[in-house]
Amino acid sequence: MKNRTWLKNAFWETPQKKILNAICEFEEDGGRQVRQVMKMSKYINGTQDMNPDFVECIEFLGEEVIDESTAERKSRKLSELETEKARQLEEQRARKMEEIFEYKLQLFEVPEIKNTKLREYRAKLRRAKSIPEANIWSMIIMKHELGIEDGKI
Amino acid sequence: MEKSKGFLVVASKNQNFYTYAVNLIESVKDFYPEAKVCLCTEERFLDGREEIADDLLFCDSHYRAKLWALPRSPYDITMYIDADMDCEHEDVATIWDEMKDYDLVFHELTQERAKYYTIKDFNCQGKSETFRLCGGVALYDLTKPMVKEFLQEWWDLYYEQQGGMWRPEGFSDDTWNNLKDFDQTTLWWLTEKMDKYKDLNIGIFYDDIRWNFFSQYAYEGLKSIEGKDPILRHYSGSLHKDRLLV
Repeated sequence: MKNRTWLKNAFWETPQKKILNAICEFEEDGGRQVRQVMKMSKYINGTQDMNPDFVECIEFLGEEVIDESTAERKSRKLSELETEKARQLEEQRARKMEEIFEYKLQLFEVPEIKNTKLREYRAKLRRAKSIPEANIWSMIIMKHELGIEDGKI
Repeated sequence: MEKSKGFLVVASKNQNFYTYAVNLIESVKDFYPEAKVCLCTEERFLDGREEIADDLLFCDSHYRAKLWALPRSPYDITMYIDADMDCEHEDVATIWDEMKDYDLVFHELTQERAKYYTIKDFNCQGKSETFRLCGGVALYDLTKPMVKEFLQEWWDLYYEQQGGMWRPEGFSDDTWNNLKDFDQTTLWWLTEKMDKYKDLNIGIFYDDIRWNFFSQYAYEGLKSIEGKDPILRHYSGSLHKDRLLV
């Protein structure tokens, strides 16, 4: 195997810098180009002997480059996480909105709500942002349509 | 004489669509009280709520009665809206500005929106083809004879397509099975393959996502280019259309 080149996007897997993740490229004897992802422990199988791949990578890139890459990766991952969280929230909101829309359509089928001439109240019900709010506007319409005053029909 | 302008909403085949349509018409009028709206529906669905519509058209019980209704709109300039939509914004009153010099205006089926449509890309005669226009909303000028003819042919050809009487060459059986039920297939054929309609001036609404905001667009945070709220939200993918509402 000829000399290996280590890519600058190597990063520490742990804050203790005992596991290193890196990609190396090299040319095989037959001339084939190989790119290999390597996850390397500092020591070989619980011994105090240094892992030669680990040492080679650090010597090639320098610890500072790996530190910078690790920090950049952490920041990028956090940002991706934030974006995904925001997306999930948007999805939740959208799904909730879909549920509320269908719920309101059911309310519009209640005879008193269906036939009411109180267009403004129906509009309020249509714009309700939650099921409780939709229920409140429905109750107001029902109260009017059933002529309820002081709890008496 | 000034051209008449109005909205067209179609509710056929399924009673739920009548309920959706009534809600949609009311929601348009909540924000745009002067709006004229034509409801095209089946006589058997009527329950008094159709009074909200300014004009009434009766259609047969056909799943795509929409296509039948398009060239029969009573208005010179018509904004067709799928019944399972809801108007949420006062900008609905600005719809007529979107006509500009176009003959017809549509919502665009872009790549980022593709995952919310049943089909977008397909092969025809070994060539990759794509649906670009989405017919959920359509603004058109019926005073132009070519537009009227085009819309009538959309219905005629779709009717034949669905009935197995028309199938363009170049599709494998599998592909055709995926495409044959869609009116978008017919729309694609008319606009992309028929010379007769190559001069039709077809436009896309400005910031078109606002005019046909599929509720699922929000799952991925798709937004208006100007950061504005949707005008018409489309609940196509989330409603249980065949389930009784109550």
